[in-house]
Formats: sequence, C-alpha cells, structure tokens
Amino acid sequence: MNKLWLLVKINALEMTGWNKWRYASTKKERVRAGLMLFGLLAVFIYVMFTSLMSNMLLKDALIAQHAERLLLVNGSLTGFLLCLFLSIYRAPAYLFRFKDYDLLMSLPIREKDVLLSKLILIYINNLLFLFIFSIPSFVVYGISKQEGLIFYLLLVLVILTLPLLPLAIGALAGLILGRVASKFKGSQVILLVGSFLLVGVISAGSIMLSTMTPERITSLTNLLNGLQQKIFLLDWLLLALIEKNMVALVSFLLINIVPFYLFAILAGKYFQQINGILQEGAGSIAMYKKRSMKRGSVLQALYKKELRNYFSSYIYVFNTSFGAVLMVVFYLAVVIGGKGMVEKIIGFQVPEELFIGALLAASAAFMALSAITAPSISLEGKSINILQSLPIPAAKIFVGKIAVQLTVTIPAIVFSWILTTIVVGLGIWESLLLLLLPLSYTLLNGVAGLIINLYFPKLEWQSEVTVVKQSMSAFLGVMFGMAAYGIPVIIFINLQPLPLLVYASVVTVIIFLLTSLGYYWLIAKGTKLFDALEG
Amino acid sequence: MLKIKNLSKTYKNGKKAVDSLNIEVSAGDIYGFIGHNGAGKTTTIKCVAGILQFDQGEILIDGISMAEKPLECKAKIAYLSDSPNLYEHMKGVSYLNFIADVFGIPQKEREERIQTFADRLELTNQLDGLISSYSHGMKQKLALISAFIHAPKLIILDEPFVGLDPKAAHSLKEMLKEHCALGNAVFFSTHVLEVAEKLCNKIAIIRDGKLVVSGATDEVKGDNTLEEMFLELIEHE
Repeated sequence: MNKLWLLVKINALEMTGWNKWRYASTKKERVRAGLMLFGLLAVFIYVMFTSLMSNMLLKDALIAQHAERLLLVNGSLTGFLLCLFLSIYRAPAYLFRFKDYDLLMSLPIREKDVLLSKLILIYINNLLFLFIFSIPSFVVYGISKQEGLIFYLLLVLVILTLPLLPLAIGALAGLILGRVASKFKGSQVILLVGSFLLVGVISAGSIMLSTMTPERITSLTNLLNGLQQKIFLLDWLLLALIEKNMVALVSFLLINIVPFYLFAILAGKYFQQINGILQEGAGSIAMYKKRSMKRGSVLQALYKKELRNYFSSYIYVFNTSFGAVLMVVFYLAVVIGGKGMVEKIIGFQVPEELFIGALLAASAAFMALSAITAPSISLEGKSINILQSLPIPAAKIFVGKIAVQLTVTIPAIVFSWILTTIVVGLGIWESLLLLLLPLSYTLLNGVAGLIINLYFPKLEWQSEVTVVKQSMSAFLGVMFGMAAYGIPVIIFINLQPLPLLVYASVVTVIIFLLTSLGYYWLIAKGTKLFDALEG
Repeated sequence: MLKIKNLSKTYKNGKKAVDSLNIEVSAGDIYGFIGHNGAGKTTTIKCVAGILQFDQGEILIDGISMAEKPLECKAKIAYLSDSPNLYEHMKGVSYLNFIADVFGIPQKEREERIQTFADRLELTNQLDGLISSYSHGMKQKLALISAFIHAPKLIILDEPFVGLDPKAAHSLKEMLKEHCALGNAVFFSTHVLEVAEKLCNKIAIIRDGKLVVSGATDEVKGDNTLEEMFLELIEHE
C-alpha cells in the first residue's frame, strides 16, 4: 500500500477510535465506545437534517423572488469560511504538535507524505462539516430548480475541491504562525495570540455575512451581483453550477487545487525545521539559579500545577478559553456600538426592555462555551497515578481544577461587568445580575465538567487534540453548558413566567443551587470515581 | 556503518547541545553512548535518526549522508526512542504490520520475523491486544520487535533497557549481539554502566555536548570498572 494512504489510514483509525470499539476487550468498553460513535453519528445526522430543513424553509421565499442562487452563494461562502476557520483552528495542532513526529520522521517516509497525511485529515474533517452546513444549501437549490444528473456530478467536483483553497490559506496561516513562533522563546503565546487574531478576523467576516437574512433578499441580490463581480471564485462556481459552464468549472477546480499543491511543496520544505524547533523544549533547559523557595498550601500547589499545565498547552487554551475571549470582544463591541451592535451580532431586533436580557443571555452563552474542566482529568493521562498516590483528598484536586476555570473566566466576567455598568449605565439590580449570572454559570460548568469527565475519562491518548476536541467528555461538557443556558432562555421566550430581572435572579439562584449540589456530589461520590481511575 | 563528523547542534536559547562531535561506528560494533542527563545524548541520537536537523557537520549512514539522502539513510536504520509513542488504538500485530509495510518487507519474511522476535521477547500471546491495553514494558517490547523487523544495518536505541523485565533485557542483549554478528551495528545510549561494560565493544562518553573519550571499551576503562572511570572523567573534566 502507498505510504501516504497507509499514514492516512493509521491516523484516521487513531482519530476516530474505531479500533477501540472494534477490538474492545470487555463488553462494557465495547458498549461505551459504541455509544460514543453512535452519539456522534446521531448528532451529525441531526445537525445535517436541521440544516436541510432550514434551507427548505428559505427556499420558498427565495423562489418567490427568483433568487434561488442565493442558496448556492450561502452554501459556498459558508463552506469556504467554515473550512478556513477550521483549518486555522486545526492546522497548528495537526501539523506541528503531533506525538508520532519522532516515529514518523525516523521512518523512510517522505516528509511530504507525512505532511500530506496530516493535511488530508484536516481535509476530511472539513469535508464532514461541509456535509452538514454547505451541502444542504446546494441540494435544496438542485431540488428547487429541478436540476438533473449533470448538476449533481458538477456539485460533487465542486464539493470535493471547495475545501482545498481555504485549507491551503488556513494551514499557511498556521505554518507562518508556527514559523514566526519558533523564532521566539514564548512560541506558545505567539501561536495562541496569532490564532485568536486570525479566528477573530474570520469571525468578524462571518458576523458581517450574518446580515444576509431572507428578509433582505432583494438587497442581497444586488449585493450578490457586486460580490460575484468582485469574487471571481464565486463567479466561477455559480457559472459552473447554474450555467454548466465548463471553462468556469475548470477555472474553479484549478484555483482550488493549484494553491493547495503549491502550499504542500512550501510546507514540506519547512516542515521538519519548524517541528524540530518546536520540540526543542526538553533540550534547551535554562540554567537554574538558586533562589529562595516560597512555601505554599496544598491547594496553592495544586492550583499552580493546574494553571501551568493549562497555559503550557496551546491546544487546551485555544479550545477552551474561546468563550472568555469572545465575551470580552462582545462587550467591547457593545460599548462601542451599543444596542445596534448587539442586534447585528445576534441577527434580530431586541426591544429596549429586553436589552439587559440579551446581555445576560449572551454572558451565559459565553460561559457555556468555556468547558475548561471537562477534559482536565483526561489530560492527566498516565500521570494520573501521581495525583492518586499523593496524600491529599481528591476534593482538593477538583478545587484546583475548578480554580483554573475561574481564573480564565472571572477576569472576562469582571472586565465586561465593569465596562458595561459604567458605559451602558445599568441599575444596581441589573448590574449585579450581569456579574452573578455568568459567575454562576462558570461555576456550574466547572463542577459539571469534572462530573462528566469522571464518567467519561480518556486517559490513553496520543495527542491532546483527541482529549480536548474529540473526547466524549469535552463534547458533553459543551452540550451541558449549552443546555444549562438554552433551557432558561427558551422558557423565558415562550412563557415569560416572571418579569425579566426577577426571572434572571431566580435562574441565578437555581444555577448556584445546582452548582452546590454538583459539588456535594463531587465530594461524596466523585472522589471514589477519581480514585478508581486507571491511568 | 555510522560516521558522525564534527556534529554541532545549537538550540534557540543559544545552548550548544552538541559541540563538534566525532564518532565512528563500524560494522559489527555494539557502541555504547554514555553521559549524564542533559549531556546531549538524545539530541545526538535524534540527529542521527533524521528527526532533528543540525547546524554543522555530517552524519553518514553506511556512507550515505543523512542531510542529503534522508530516505535512503532511514531505510537502513531503526530508531527506538526512550519512551516510544505508539498508536494506542492499534493492535500490536497491526502496528508491526504497519512498520513492515513502511519498509516494504515481503509477507513471508515479516511473518517469520514477527514470530521469532515476539517469541524471544515473550509478546506473541499479546500481539492481538490493543496497544492501549499494554504495560510500559510490553510497549517497549513491541517497539523493539518493530526495530528488528526490517533487519536494519544500524539500530539506534535511546535507553532501550528501561522498563524491560530481566528476562526480556537478557533476550534483547542476545538479539543485539546476534544482529551485530551478522555485520550490522548498534548505537545506543544508556545509564546502566554495567550493561555498557559487558555488552559494548566500543563506548563514547559525552559531557555538555562534547566528546570526552571514545574507543574500545577495554582501552577506555583500563583496569577500572566503567563506573569508576566514568565518575572520574565527569568529576575531573
């Protein structure tokens, strides 16, 4: 078998954990792994179905105004931005921080093949997201225009090549970041800040595109004409799919394939150099200078250890501090742009009396995204035995992990609270809620993350990526946060059982109560589960 | 078999991990590479295995330059790190098959070699298990089998005896001797000086990236034990 495809196969098996299900030694492990695979598949199908339905709803409005091609625009732009975002997001981890680097580089495999195998993994990942968020738009267009086989054949070609250009651009951004970062001592910080900035720019672009709602179809059609003239890529895609223009199709394919090919050559040239520099850590230890050592409590020691672990992992920080970073960006935008900016971001009008409600909901949502503790026990990996062997109760270890969650989220909460209270001019009750509600959510998320991780530990892993991004615990941590945030919001929107501020106060108290119950459970039962973990 | 000529490697903080190192390993040698922690052993080994790029010097494997023709060099070597990172979700036998595929080993040969080395390291019965279920020692044994599977001309090992039970350690020593008797060579780092003294016909001692002494083991240690000689060199240099 070709070495490239051999690597792709091996990496795909590692990433999906397919073998863990296939060759599980006990029935319990097999059921757990099977449930995990089934759960992921169910979520995939559900989201794809929802995406398809929303496009079907949009279809009738578009047909009425003869603007069906907006479906193609929506599908292609969403797909392009999504792939760009995911590539920037994943490239540093997939290309520069993989654990099998030493093994692969010592084997007679071309660097280009190692690099390509990693790129193909990102490509497959991106393609899966295209299936969920882009393909439904294309398919609904096909249905609405009663397109024939040729359209769908062209569509397959378009879909297969659509992720290549954003992948090349995103991975190039990741590569440049990696190369720039490798020149400096604080390479992790540079990589992190750079990634946040890049994703921030893409997110800002997405928010601008979110103004493309069905209500504005007429103006959007004009916008589209302008866009089509300016973005030749989009022009070629539309010409290829709508008019079956073969020249446009070939141009579209080439503009995606050629840059990707050139990127693979360029990246292959610097691949070993960057990875070599990034893995120098152990060999470049600075000379220790004797200094007085401060004595601290057990809790302080655990907290420092957790904090150090957290900030030394680019992957962990980048994936879990997003909520806190977005919160700060959101409130800066609110302070600058006021209520209009909030409406622009969330995509609908907010009555004056519900403005504070929108802010509270946003704060809770940002905290729901910050599931820092959910992978924290899994990340101990094999070294969990060290913690288990220490003469300290597991409860203190839990507190140390929750403290890291608070260290990341509380500055964002307080910063947003002070900024908003001063500039927007909130009353005392409103102001207090804007502080306490997100605080209650981050506490709940911290406790719930640990509980989930105790039930779904993943202590054997090849790369932190599999724990932070792909583990059941990390997934459920975010899902729990979204549910804890979404349920009260849905109840209020549909039932409005109490005046807004009273309702928000009640929710805050309930969240604090749930947190206390969760913490009580952690002390009573969680410690036993922790002691039983086998690294 | 291996020539390290004037090798230097500097890290980005300015620390010279390897400084003008010269070592020559001939066919049939079991060459021990000794030094305290942080002396530059692993950096040197990673450069030899083609994992790390180096600033100056040359590394020749069987006369071929690692910098110029890395793939040809890598096809002649096997490298085993001090803590092998294996694919946890693969079965042991699948991992060995993967390595055999990479080196293009014919089916009959790979089956025979896997059988032979797995029997000798007593891992045959566990080959069908997932690597994630292996102990550290079992993973070490699996990685060792993978190092022998393509009959490499040069085996490069970083602390190969860590985690092995006494019987497996003994088997490994015999396997290394037999491998070198066939005209191949072994270059390995170790902290276990008794092993180096008994197993290696040549040794090199490195300190702060620089070669302190090298040559035939008997000549280097003289009438002392290797431990005595090592401590004396390290303390008085």
